[in-house]
Amino acid sequence: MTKRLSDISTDVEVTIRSIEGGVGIRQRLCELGLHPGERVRIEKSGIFGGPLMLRVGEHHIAIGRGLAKKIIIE
Amino acid sequence: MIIAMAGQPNSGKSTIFNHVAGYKTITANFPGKTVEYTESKITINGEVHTIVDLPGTYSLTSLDPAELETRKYLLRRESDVTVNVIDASLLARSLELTIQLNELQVPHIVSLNMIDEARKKRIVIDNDALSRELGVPVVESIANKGVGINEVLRTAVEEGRRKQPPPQLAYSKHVEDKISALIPSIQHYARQHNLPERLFAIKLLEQDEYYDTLIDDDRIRSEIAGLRDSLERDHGQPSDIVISSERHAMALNLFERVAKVSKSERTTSQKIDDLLMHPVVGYIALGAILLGFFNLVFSVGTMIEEPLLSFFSTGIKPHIVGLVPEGLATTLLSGVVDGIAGGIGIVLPYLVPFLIGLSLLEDVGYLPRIAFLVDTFLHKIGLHGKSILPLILGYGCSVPAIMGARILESHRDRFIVITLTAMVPCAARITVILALVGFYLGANWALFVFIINIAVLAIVGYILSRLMPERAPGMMLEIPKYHLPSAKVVLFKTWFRVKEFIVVAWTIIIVGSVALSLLEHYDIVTYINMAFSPITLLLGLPIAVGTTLIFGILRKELAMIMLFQALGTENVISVLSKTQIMTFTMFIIFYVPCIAAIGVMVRELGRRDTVFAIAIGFIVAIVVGLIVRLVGLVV
Repeated sequence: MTKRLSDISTDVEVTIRSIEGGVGIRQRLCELGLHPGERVRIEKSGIFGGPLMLRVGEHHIAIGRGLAKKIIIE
Repeated sequence: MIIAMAGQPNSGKSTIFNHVAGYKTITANFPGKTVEYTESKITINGEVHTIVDLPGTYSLTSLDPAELETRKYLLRRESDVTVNVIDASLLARSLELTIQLNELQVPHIVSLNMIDEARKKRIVIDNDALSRELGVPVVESIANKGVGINEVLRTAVEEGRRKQPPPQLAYSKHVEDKISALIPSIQHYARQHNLPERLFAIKLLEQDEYYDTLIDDDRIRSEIAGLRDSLERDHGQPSDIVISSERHAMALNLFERVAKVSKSERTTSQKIDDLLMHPVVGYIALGAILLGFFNLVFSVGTMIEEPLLSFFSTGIKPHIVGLVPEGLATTLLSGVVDGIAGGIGIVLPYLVPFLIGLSLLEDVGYLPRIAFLVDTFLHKIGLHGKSILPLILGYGCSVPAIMGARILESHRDRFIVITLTAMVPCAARITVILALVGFYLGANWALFVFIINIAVLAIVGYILSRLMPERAPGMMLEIPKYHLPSAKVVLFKTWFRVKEFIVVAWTIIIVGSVALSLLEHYDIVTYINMAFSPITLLLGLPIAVGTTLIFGILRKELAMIMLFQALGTENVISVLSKTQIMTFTMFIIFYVPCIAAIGVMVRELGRRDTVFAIAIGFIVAIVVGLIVRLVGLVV
């Protein structure tokens, strides 16, 4: 079964395998550092299905949970 | 010489700009776009140069309108040199943009900014090595402390004189083969559009929409598609991912060659976030910060407003108006004075502390965190967390609130949020709510009005976001480190926004005020009442109320004063029923934003969408007013 970033609990580090969705979303996520092969960690998880705050390399980004569902991890 | 400032968001680019920009700074829109840039004249070594602050951009491939304009600007080669501002503590990621600037073949220098932050994170960068690898000068700076800025600019001017395009950095052999294979077919297009051919080829392989549209030959299109497919087949990822991943790897390798990182402990920023982003404490802190912010704005505002207004009405106005003979001239002059006083006395006392507070929250880095915290709730009505800011600001004054909607990237979000913001009761409308509903029906009813208002906003927001589905699914934003803001930059930003208010809104307030005086002078109240009679009749209000609605457009708080005048009594309850008071108040809140707000709406949204936004507000006002009337009949 494919595992998605939205299924992961906080403070676990995972590796991105691929990103679903159109070229626009892929390119935007890549710009923010979410490349396939990159290690990410969920540092904060918003309440009531809110957004996730991720640590990628040296910086933090927040993405909505809908987007996290499009990120397949290993 | 024209020096362009380019860099990723939060790199401190604008801080450098604001440090050197003079009072002659101007904000301009890119031709035909809502995207803005700022421009200023500066003196370096006794020569005057132009410095342009471009919108922050993560890369040059983006679909984001602001980033697109930045790229187009750089491609047009209007600037002689680019200063690539980099957050040194995020060097690896930032280099991805730098590599693309090299591909653009525009002379540029790297300003290694926030070098103190990098040292704190125990990142040691070998500047000479970085400069050698990139083939461009590298200069350290700490923009918020004003360190190194002159050196950055001097180096930029030198590099601009050299006119030497930076060297290209190589991708893997496999990708380079595809680039070389494509170049001969697109050479003609590259020349036609004055683009470097290698950059053109890379962007086409990367599925960049903009470059795609430049190719009108089907044979070449299918050749591009073939090369993309072959990249995808060999790497198991779409071609755009293949290229951006390689660029990412190039940046990482470069970083490893020029920088050393010792394992760092949890930063102060992360420790603060443990509190401010906590699922419980975070919301309490958010409430406290916003409450404190508004308390400050309102206490400073009221402290200044009253003495200023009385100074105008007793100290200045009689003297000025007394200068001309009684008659039309007096009316016009008192209109102008009232308008000036309205601007200075009512708006500025709230606007200035408000804008200082906003710049502080912005520069400290708290705004994206607010967006994170409230995203869950706004998501339910189809908006992102960032939209909360203009909406909250709306309770103060609609004018800066509407200007605040600029933080939203997409026009769709800006449109929805501005439409909603215009319906948030501003300080003037709050006065009406308190003085009419609060006074005659009781405080609970006034609170009820606020709650109904929020409910209506949620419904309208929900409907609008369903009618205008968005392209990107959900929020994507960087959460930057906390920063100590620089007083100079905060004040400069505030001054800049105040200046914008003076130019746009104040003029309109003065014109509106004069129009009001003329209406009074020529006594055309009857005609206005007639014109508004369809509305007043529909809502079950006395026809005499019609004039107050016009005044409500010109200056919201006047709606109530004119209501007293129109009804011929200050004891409203003797003429209007409780239902009528409620209907009137609800209608006034929603129907049309004040003329100053309309002015900034046109600026932010353009004429067509402003008309839509106002029409939506008007329809909502009629519907809500009618519902209140009907409910009143039943109860």
